[in-house]
Amino acid sequence: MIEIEKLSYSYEDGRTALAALNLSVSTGEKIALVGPNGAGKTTLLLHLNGILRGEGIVRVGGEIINERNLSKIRAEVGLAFQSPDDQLFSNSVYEDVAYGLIYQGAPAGMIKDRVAAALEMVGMPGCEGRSPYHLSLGEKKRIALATVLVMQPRVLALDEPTAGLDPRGRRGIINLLAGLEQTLIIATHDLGLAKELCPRMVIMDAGRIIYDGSTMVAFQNPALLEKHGLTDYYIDS
Amino acid sequence: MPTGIVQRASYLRGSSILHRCDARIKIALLISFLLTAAFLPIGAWVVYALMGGLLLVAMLASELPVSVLLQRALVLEIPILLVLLPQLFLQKGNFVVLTVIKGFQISFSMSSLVRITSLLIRSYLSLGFTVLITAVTRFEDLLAAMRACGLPRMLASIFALMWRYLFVLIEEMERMTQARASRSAVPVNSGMRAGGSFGWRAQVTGGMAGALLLRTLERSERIYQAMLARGYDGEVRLGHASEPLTWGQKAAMLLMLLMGAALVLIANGMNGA
Amino acid sequence: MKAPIPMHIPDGFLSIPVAGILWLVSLVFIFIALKKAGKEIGGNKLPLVGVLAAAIFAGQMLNFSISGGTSGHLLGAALAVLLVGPWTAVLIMTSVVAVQALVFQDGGILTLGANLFNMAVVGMAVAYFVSSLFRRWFGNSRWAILLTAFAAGWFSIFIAALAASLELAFSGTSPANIAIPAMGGVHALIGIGEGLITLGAVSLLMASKPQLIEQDSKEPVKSSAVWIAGLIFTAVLLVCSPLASSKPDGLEWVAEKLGFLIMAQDASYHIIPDYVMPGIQNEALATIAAGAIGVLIVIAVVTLLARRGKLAENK
Repeated sequence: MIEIEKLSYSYEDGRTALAALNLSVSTGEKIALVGPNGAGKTTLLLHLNGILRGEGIVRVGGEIINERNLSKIRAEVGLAFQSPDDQLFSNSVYEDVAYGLIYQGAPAGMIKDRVAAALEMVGMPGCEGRSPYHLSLGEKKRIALATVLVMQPRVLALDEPTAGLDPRGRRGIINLLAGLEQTLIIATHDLGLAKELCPRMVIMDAGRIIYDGSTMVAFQNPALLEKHGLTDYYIDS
Repeated sequence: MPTGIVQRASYLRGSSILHRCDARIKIALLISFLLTAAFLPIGAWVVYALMGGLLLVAMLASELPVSVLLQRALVLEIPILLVLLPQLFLQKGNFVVLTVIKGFQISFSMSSLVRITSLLIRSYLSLGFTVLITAVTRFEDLLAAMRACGLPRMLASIFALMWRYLFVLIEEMERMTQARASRSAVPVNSGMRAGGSFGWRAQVTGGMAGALLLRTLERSERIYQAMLARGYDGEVRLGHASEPLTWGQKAAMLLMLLMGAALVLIANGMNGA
Repeated sequence: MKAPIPMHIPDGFLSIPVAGILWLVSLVFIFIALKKAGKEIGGNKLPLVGVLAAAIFAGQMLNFSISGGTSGHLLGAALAVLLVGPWTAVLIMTSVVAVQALVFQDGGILTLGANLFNMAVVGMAVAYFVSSLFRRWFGNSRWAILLTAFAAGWFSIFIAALAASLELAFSGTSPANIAIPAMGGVHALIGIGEGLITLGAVSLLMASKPQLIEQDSKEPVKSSAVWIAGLIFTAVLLVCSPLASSKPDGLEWVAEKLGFLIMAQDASYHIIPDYVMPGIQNEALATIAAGAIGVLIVIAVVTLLARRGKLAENK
């Protein structure tokens, strides 16, 4: 589904964000992308649908991302940002969720049905008329997810889907993600989520992939986790 | 991931004599240079060259890569060129006819060629010097110097606050734009006309501006509380107060203005001759 | 790299007298704004003004495609007026325009006075004038507020652009018959974007924090000076521009007018025959046409919104 070859990216001030990454994701896989702050997780996600374009090759569904197929790629790879505020900028939940479909030029009836279905999926049916501004963080995160789900992408790239949520909100998101059939790539600090949802784990640090393999095996290697800033969880559990 | 605009923020770190120079002097230098350039008559080529030499020497003194500075000024010159160029064909005066390729002639007036070239050189000189001065002066120092030169306290405080949050908000803005871009997609063979209407796009953009404002308002409340918590007394601190200028510095500033005036006079004299 | 909005006049574009006079005018307005806004905003609103200025700066980077590579931008003068009132808006636009000139070199230093005049003073006065007028005409219903937002946005851009082109013409940089149709035409279109963005922002704020928008209509802002200034700017520029464009050289035109000379055909000035430089004449015509279309669209949108507003109120 996704193949990344020797992907490098530097910030404008010259710092390296990604250093010659290789990663291959098959259809239907569920991958947890973990690592300390500043490891390059978000930067990597932004490459999956061509928001950032570093050096190297990113293939989605066998096609190399380029200027011309960008729009098509973005329909296949849905990206949910860490802060839902970045994604919600309309008067009503309906308008926000419908954005992608209106942009695609979908007929009005279809938009309405699919928005309703997406809201149902994230556990917030019937809230089309509410103002996104007055929602709680947990609700905003769900709506942000709905804005992506409504476009029915084949790959979902999620940045910290559970960050800042209360335990019940977190549980809700995990259950929601568990029910999805799409290919999932989740950048997260929530190792519990990784353990529960993702059989495969990719550990990043300083723009490199340090570990790529079974989540369970990674958990049996406390030294590895500790070395890359993931200890706290290890001690707690 | 700030792009574009942040890169254009012009301060470039360094420790040259120009970097260390008092910001008030640099402001005076800039203003005398700009005024001189603006007052120079059309076609004063020798004085233009002199000013260019001065600019180059100053750029070398900054110990910054001169090519970068010149390039920045050049980029800023492009819109000016675009506005001035058409006038080559519209001004009065004697026309010169030029055969570029067989059967295609261009005619333009000599006097407007001189005028436009002069305007271009003058604006490039001004841009070059502005680029240089803002590259060697931190905004905070510039602000403190302006405050010392009589910029009202409230305006200085607003500038300082704006500067502190500008890049935070630009980043927020860019993430929002990225989020919009990543949902602006068209599936394969959908056969539908994508992009939405002009009015809808503008309204979505308006929504983004509104969302930004809303978050900004909340932020400003938090900032105010944080300021109160730290004993805010009505003035945003702009770093330590500047010392009064020495007589030498004052004399130097006067000298610069006089030199500029002299250049203008010489240029006018040469043109008259 | 994006080309700066042509509204920012660079150094070397304005003659010294024009730049100097506008520096003085802008300083006077900023001085008054400091006095007036001092009462309005006090200490506790200072962070609001500073951060709002940063937000409007950032918001100016928002763009949306109009067609084929052209994109619409936000200026924000109208939005600032609607949110925080005219005098505070002057301070906000002043901070934005000044920092753009000082740090990003959008617009020159000598021309900063003129740019402040166009974007902070004219933009504010026109937006305030239009919004007060529309509030008076259409009241405070939802539709009236949205209509006001759109109109304030469009007029602030269009009139500010006219002011800029007149300044260029008076400086002898760009003949009025080129500058005004070009700037006016482009900005009549950009203004529609500005109007719609302002409308979008206001409608979002109305949905999420209605008290923000209604607030300034509750407290009667007694700024008749701004009102009158706005009226004068709008009238003078709307009347001046077509007149000035009919006569190519702005300075000559003024000299003639002041001297009550007969408007004689200026033989020495002529556009070269179009077989030599094809397209120029058509281009000028095209920009004029674009301006005319822009004006028509604005009138259409305004009447449409007004009618819908009436309908909504009658319900």
